[in-house]
Amino acid sequence: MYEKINEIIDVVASFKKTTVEPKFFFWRRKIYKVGKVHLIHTSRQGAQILYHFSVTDEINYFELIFNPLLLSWTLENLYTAG
Amino acid sequence: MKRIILHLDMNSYFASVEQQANPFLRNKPIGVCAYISKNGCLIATSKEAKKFGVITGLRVREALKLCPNLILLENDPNKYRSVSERFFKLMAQYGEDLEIYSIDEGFLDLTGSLLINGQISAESYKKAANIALEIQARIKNEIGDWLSCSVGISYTKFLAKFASDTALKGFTHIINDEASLNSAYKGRLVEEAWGIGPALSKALNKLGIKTILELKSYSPFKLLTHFGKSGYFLWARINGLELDDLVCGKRGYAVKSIGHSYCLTKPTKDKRYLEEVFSKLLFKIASHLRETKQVARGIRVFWSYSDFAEHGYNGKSAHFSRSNTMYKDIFLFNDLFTFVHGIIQKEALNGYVLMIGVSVFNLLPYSMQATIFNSCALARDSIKEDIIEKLNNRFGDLTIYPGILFSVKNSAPDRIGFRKSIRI
Repeated sequence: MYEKINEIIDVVASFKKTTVEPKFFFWRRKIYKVGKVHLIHTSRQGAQILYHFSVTDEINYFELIFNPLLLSWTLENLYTAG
Repeated sequence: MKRIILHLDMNSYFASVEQQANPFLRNKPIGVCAYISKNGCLIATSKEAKKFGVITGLRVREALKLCPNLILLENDPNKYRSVSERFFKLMAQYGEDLEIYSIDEGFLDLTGSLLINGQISAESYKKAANIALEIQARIKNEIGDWLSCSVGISYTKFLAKFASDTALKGFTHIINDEASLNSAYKGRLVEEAWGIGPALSKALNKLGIKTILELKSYSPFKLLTHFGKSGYFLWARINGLELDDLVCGKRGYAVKSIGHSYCLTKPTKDKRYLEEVFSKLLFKIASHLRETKQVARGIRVFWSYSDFAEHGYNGKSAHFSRSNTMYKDIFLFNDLFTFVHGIIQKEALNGYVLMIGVSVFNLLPYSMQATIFNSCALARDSIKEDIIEKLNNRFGDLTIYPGILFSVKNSAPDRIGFRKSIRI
């Protein structure tokens, strides 16, 4: 089941030519290494565009949201396999 | 001159996008719902779920009986629209004329780029097949490796769609001449053709037409007699005569109506609550009319009753529907709500209402032709709703809204209805 988290987190990201890749993030005193970015999609809050990154490590799925206006990252959803 | 049309159809689209985003859902039966509730309907299912007989349109409680391990997800329209935008942009790189038919289907006219000595030839079809392969590969490489699509290629729009509908998942099906057309139709029943629903299929069966090949060879004059023009058009399309242009442009689809429906989380006889939820649907419709610069000259309200015996409705389900064709333009929320309010107050409810819907039709381009009697009020209300729209566009949906929506703000959330609410 998906668990809604909605907490602001610290993220280390790589800015490539035409994309952004989160590499690590820190949540509740643990460091999570992003294994792969599976999908990037956008949404709008009014005029504001938000960037959603669907990523996984070995056992968890995370949805990270980047807000370019606030320059903040949020851990929105978590899904643990099994 | 014959054309060469490509039709692309994403496979198990919403479910595939969810499995693309979350690999722990892959190879598992999943069902996407507008909202997760036993009364809710599935709006998409994965191919793994389909093996259990779990298909789009099934109620959640029925689906769980067929597949207890079904993983239910709430739909995420932003995710699907975002992916659609990417594969349509990709398709547009291969031809100028792109019709966005729905959230997961599009037509591409390849004629111009594939003419050889001014004609479409066998070589043109080979090139079209290569284009299809390239698009399919690029979708996997550039958008998502779990996504797949079926492609149909043919000389008319109708046949291109038929080809993709009958292609194996993830493959391309080409119909380029009479022989391949007859081969494609072999063994297919009439209801497998685009545009033939249960009612028309039944009517055709009464004439002794059960298969597409029988329809193809039937007399067009007899079809004209029985069904009018539409009967002839059906025969013509089945026989490979081109009747349809691609509808292209920024809003590359011709919309005949705009509507929304909602399945209530709990059946109710509370008219006030029904009005509140209806007002949420009407607010969306008014917004859509403003965005597309259209007005309507007709409105239809409908609801269906619960079929739960426990509510004392004797196990029967029933429906209510009322349409009104207007003499004046309607596009303001207040006008739409006034009509719906009148219907709800006037009609006696025969049971507990489970599903509601409202749509506007007879759409026309907006032109501010106020009558002498209502010019000030119309201008004032129009300006007010424009300002509300601008504020909501700037700061987020429902930043400002009519008071009647207060208790139902979270009801009838955003979702994608097929064909009519693409809005990419």
